[in-house]
Amino acid sequence: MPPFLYLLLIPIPFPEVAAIADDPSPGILRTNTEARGVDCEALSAEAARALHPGQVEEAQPRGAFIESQAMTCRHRFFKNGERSPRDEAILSRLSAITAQLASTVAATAPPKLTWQVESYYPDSAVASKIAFAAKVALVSRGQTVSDRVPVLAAGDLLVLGQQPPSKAYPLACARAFAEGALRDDEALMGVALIDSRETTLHAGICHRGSWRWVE
Amino acid sequence: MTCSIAPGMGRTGSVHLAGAALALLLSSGCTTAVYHPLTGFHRPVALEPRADTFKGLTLEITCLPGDVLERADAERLCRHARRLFADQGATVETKTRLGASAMGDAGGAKAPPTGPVLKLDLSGRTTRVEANAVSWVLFIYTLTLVPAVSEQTFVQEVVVRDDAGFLLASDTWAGRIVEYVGAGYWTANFALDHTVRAPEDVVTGDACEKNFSRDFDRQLTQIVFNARARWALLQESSGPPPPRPSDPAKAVN
Repeated sequence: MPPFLYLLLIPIPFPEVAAIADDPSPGILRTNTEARGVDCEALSAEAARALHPGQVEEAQPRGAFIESQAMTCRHRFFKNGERSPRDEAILSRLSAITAQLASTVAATAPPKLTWQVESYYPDSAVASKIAFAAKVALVSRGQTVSDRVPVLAAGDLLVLGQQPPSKAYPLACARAFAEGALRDDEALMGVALIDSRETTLHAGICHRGSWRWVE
Repeated sequence: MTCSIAPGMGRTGSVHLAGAALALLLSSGCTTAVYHPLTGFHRPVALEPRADTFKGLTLEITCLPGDVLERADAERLCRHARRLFADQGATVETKTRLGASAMGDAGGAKAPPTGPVLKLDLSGRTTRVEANAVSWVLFIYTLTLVPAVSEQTFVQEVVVRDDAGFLLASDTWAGRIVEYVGAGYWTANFALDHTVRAPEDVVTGDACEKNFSRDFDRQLTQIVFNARARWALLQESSGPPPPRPSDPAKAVN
């Protein structure tokens, strides 16, 4: 028998082979496009067992010969290209973005205010998601949130529509206070996309007719 | 055919393959390096590169050497970033922690900036380097048909501040470079690349470096753009800017 055939006597560790085949990186089994459709995180085997019990093989009582690493991957809710890049970039991090905005707003505003939340975003469906996420973020930080939004007169809206953003927000705030849409103990948290090429949101506060950006 | 983890880097930061001199002899030239974005690197961006995107912006880029970037690599990274932003209209100054400094597109005498001044800090670190020992056994056992696998997982940290040090944006992106050594794996990928794969799915040749560079540039451009937008808004709410230290006459008056 040729000497190299003795190599056949070496047992093949099939779980390790399967692990190589399961690797989410691009290659023979996965394209770059498919690999880019998931967000992955490399974890230690212990952390993966704690976070995903039952899905990672339990450690052997005497330990493992080779230290192993786990990788958890999450498919994006929408495939690449199904939503606009800007919407996808914002919605995929909406919880983190609104948490950051709400933290700043709650920290910089006077206490015991009732918050109204409005979002300014080109897509109305996305705008409503942003407003809802911002309300949840405020509530989770102990703030009182109302479902109302300040409604301005048609004439105000006509004038506001002709103003650049730097003037429109302060003017809208002043008008809302003057018309009684916002009382002394109420404030508006405005969440806005200022430039269509941005992938983040900004927050401003309207209180007693005065508008200021905080984030 | 290795892939570096900073645009413009050489082999210094590439995955270290553990031993296996025999295997390398058997498969010399048959290394397939694959870039795999984990988080952040492949996030969609809304910004298309344009010559005037950063017009009026002065950007001070600091590339911090670390375990991913040696000093020479940090300088290459800074040069790459300087070109990226200078091509889009910014005035760029780069430096590393060790003091190497160079002016960007302006060159020569340094005029006081008239627009916003942002500071961009780039640093990276390796979170894991692994050479799969079992795959090396299989690699030899199958006469290089099954690839030997090595990988490096890394994170890139990006921080953007204004010239007063106020934090405007920060992010951390994670990725990894996986290297497959083996004639069988390389041949299969080479054949697929030249027959059925779309151009964006090619993995052999310099695809690894190109793909990483594209992601890095897009994310870096977007985060600086977001930071500048935030800077502009906060300026609106904070009133007129204080006199710049570089203009002593205004500072006194």
